[in-house]
Amino acid sequence: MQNLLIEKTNSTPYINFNAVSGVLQIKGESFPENAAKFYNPVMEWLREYLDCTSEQTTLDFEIVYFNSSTSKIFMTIFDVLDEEVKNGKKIVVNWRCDGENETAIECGEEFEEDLRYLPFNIILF
Amino acid sequence: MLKLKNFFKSYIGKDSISALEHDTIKIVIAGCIAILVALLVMSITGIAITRNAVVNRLKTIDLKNMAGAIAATIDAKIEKAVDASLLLSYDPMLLRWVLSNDTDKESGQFAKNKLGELVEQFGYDTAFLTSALTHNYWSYKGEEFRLLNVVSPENPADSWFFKTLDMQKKYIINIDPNEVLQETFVWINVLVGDLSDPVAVTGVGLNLSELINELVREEAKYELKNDIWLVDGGGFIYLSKNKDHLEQALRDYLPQDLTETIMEPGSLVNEFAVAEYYNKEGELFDVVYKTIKDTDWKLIVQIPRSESLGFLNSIIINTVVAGLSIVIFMVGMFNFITKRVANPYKRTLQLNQELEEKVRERTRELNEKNIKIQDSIEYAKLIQETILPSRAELGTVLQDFFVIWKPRDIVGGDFYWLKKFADGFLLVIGDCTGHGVPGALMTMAVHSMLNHIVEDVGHRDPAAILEELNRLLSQSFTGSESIENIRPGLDAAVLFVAKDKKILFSGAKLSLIVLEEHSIKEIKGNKVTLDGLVGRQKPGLSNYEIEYDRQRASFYLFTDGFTDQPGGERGLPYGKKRLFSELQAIGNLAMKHQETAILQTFKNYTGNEIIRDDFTILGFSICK
Repeated sequence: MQNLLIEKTNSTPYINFNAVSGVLQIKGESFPENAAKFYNPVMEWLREYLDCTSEQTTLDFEIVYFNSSTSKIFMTIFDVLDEEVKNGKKIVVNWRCDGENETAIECGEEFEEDLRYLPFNIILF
Repeated sequence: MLKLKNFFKSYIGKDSISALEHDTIKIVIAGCIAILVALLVMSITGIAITRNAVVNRLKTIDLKNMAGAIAATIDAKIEKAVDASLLLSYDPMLLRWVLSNDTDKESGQFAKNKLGELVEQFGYDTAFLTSALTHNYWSYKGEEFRLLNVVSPENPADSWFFKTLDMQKKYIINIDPNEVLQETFVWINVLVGDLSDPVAVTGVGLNLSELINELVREEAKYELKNDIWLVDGGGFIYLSKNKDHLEQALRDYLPQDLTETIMEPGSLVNEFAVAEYYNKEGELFDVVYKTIKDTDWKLIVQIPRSESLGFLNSIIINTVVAGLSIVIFMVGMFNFITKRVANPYKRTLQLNQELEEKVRERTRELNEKNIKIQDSIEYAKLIQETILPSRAELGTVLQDFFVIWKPRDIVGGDFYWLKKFADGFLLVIGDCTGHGVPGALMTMAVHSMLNHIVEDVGHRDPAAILEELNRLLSQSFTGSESIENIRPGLDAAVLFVAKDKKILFSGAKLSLIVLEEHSIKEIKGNKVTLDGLVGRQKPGLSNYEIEYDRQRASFYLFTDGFTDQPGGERGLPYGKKRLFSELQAIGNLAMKHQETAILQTFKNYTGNEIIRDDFTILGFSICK
């Protein structure tokens, strides 16, 4: 399966989903006008990837700023992953943020609260 | 109209292209001039060198050869005539006939045959025999042998005979111009018998005019404008290609000194002398001359310099023709090459211009559309503002307040809402999903929902109002397949302030800040957003009754667009902490000054960062 690589723009993050290493990276800011449209191919890739992998998968989020519609997408992603982990997949989410970025930390904490199975690590730097 | 447009397009395009063509022409002209100059220098040098060489050769070789050939012909003829005459003089039969006083029949017949033979077979004009004994002058001329004359010492016309008898040498050559016939004869007079006592004079006569005419005819083949003169010892011209020259003095044609040099008696016989002169018309002539053997006659050949250099003209013409051909060829080549070379460049320019024109057109179209959209949104802003409570309205229930309402894109998803009742008032702040027009659409919907809700479920229970809002959202926004992903919704905070100043607060992800003196409290709403989803492990919404110092407390409601806005050196969000400490610092100021301070601090922090989201802050105190 092909890797997914999307360069960052002013309003969208850098995305590097590596199907071979199982490391999926999202880094930067995310406030596209139409978040659903931007993340549709990302979601598709992810669903396809999850369908065919049984390897350890790590999602690295390093998002400085994101809008509420992006937040909903992330929520959807985490729900999907939660379900997959429940069904036996090995998936870890690393939510990386600056120690001073209280908003990002708080959001991470809120995501984590909603999850039941998916390991969700908030990593400060 | 389209045609006109295209015309202008190509017209604009031609500006720099014609400049390019202009350059090309310049290059071609410069190239041609360079070649022309080179050709000119080369040709002039070449012609000068050739000319010098030709003149040199003309003087040293060509003229002498030409005149030599003429002279040799004349000399040879004369020499042959001399030989023939000498043979005659030694003939014993001729002597016998003379000694018989022209009576011996046999020798007489022989003499007639002999003389006839010379005329008929060898082409001499006349053969003669004049006896010193009988003074009979026998002549064979025109197929006729007859006694032409009997010479007499008294007749001056016969003096030549008696002079010849006394000359004491074997022969003499006389040149005899016949003025009537305009012909010149060369007479070879040879003595017969002993030199001291000759018995007769014999010889042949040769028409020199014939000879010269022959030469002239020969010369005519070469189409040369040269002239051949035969000049007697007295300096008169007796033969010439030009009849006008005949019997004129040589000095009428040649300069005095040259005439004298030529006519000097001792001048060369075997070799030609060379000279040049300008005639009366100023034309330059080259002259060669020599004395004809055994005579004092001169053979003079002259040729105009222009004539002998005539072929140079053809060289010049050929050079000019060749030069012109080369120039034309080069012009063609230059043109071809520069066009071939310049063409891609020209094409690029053209393309560039076309593209620029296209970009201009597109930009104009975009601008037009932009203005339309801008106008439309500006109008939408007017509409959106009508649902926001006016300052006057707010002023009726709030003691002091400020409103910061900053949609990112003219209109936005943030709103605030006020409704007064007999027993108090409701104040709502909301942040709908999205910004710009989509956000604004949401605010319109939520606004009207709120109006309905307070009628249906009452106004005293903020949490119930939010629950009902969520329910209405789930009812209203079900029309799209992609609802799962975009799920329109909002964060909101609702305050009910009763007449007795009791405050009930409920928040969906939004907080209420209560500032008293320097202590600040954040009353967090529930961690739930209103997105139309119901059930599922969603925490419910709660009401909080706010305890506060009724005299001094001020309240703040804000949307996360403010605290989430990145800025500072590291591009981190503004953050609640920063907002709270700012409020603590300025809390004692009048609300309008607080507004200014908040915006200033925000601007300082965010600097040049683009604003990511709509943001709203309401600051107020209640007691009136």
